[in-house]
Amino acid sequence: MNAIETQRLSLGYNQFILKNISIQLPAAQRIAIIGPNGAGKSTFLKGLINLLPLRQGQVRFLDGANPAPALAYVPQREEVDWDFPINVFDVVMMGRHGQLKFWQRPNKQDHDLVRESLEKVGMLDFASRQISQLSGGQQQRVFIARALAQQAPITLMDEPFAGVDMTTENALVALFAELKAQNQTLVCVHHDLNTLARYFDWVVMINGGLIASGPIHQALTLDNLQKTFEGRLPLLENLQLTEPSL
Amino acid sequence: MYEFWILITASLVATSCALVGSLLILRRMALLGDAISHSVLLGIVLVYLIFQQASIAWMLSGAVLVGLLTAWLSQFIHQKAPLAKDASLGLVFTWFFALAIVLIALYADHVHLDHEHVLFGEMAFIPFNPLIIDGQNFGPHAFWLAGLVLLINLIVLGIGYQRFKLTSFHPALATSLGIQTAVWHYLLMTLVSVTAVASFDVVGSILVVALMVIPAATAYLLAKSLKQIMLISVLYAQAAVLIGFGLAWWLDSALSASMAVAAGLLLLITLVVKTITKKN
Repeated sequence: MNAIETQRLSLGYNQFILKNISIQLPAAQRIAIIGPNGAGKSTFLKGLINLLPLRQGQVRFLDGANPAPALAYVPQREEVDWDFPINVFDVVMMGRHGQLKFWQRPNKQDHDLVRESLEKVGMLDFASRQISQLSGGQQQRVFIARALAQQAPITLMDEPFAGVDMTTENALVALFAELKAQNQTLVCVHHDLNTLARYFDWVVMINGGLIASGPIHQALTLDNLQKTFEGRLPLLENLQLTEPSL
Repeated sequence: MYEFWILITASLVATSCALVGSLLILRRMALLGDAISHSVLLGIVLVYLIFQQASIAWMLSGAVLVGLLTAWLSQFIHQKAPLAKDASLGLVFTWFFALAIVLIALYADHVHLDHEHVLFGEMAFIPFNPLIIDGQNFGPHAFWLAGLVLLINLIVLGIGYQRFKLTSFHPALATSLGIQTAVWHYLLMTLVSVTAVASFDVVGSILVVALMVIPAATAYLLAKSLKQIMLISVLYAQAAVLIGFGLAWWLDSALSASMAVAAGLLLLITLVVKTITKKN
């Protein structure tokens, strides 16, 4: 089964940033999106959840499942107002609201799910803490807990590893393993080529358009990387291109 | 009874303003509230001129239409022309407002809609414009309008509370959850529009933003949740009304301006107290 399938998908704000992406991403995989700055990686995620004014082409989720599944989305941390007067628990509870009608209040099961999700990322002790009092890594874990609480079949994350501490990185890796075990699909914008093969199964390389997409051990070739990064390839000497995925 | 009607009407209006103002502050849209509270005047004037209607329902409908048009048009110009958000907003609402003033001066100056009243409000006259049905005096017109608008606000904010919270905190998440963010945005703009109408008699269209922004901004300094910011801003708004009423009586000054000044003083005191207690 394909988790995500796009046909000639073009996305942008005032003009197209990504053009003609036709891609098939298999379900139950951990998928990394890589590319240089400004390549359209975040744009791709945002386009999938209809956050962009410009969108052409077609997208199908889970082979056209009806109704279309809600996607869990973990944005870059800077996208949110961290001074908003709200506590950790309520932020995570927001993940449950997609399944509630606007007049409905969360029930006990929703509360249990929120606590469970906070427990998984080690943030249960912070449940009543204001979000303005969290560190960067803790903020990231709150977002991850929210995505978990959503129980969506597909989770999109925009650079979850950017600027986080070891605890958070470990929490993320544990989460990836758990999603994989539950046959859920993860699509992640990722920067660090060194950890690519350890954390992910599948790689999508983009730079204004699609360069390559496939299982890491097939698609992660020097040729593809050079096409994607156009000679701006970072830290290539540390990269083990043949390392098998976990 | 005279003072009672003024105070109760001002209090109802201030409550509505504080409630919608809390959301405006959190969404960083305080100036959109200002803009709408000005431009709704055009709606009221147009409805009056075209349909010869000045009843509450007609006024509210006209105001809501123009209020939504303001929000939409400023966004549209911002997207289509290379103009920043504040520029396109400043363009739209001032033009609507000016057009309304010109229309009032031309066609409607002899009736209830006189432009000084609309600009500055005239709380002292509230009791002199009663709602009379079948010869019975039911109290001031402005009181019933303010009560109706508060009721609308309470119902809509009460039912949509979770959605307003979600779309204010994280619109992108809301969209990814399949929530129609735009619907909630324009629903809030509707509430701002009807609140602005109720405020005309009390504070006028110039100072209404003081009641929408200052109590909510003060509450923002203290609150830990959306519920708290709404509750605290309502309390501050009530305090501003009472203190402002006292100030106006003591200084023999304008009621609406005194209430706005009182709200500002409360903000200042809160800020100072908060800074001092934080240091210790």
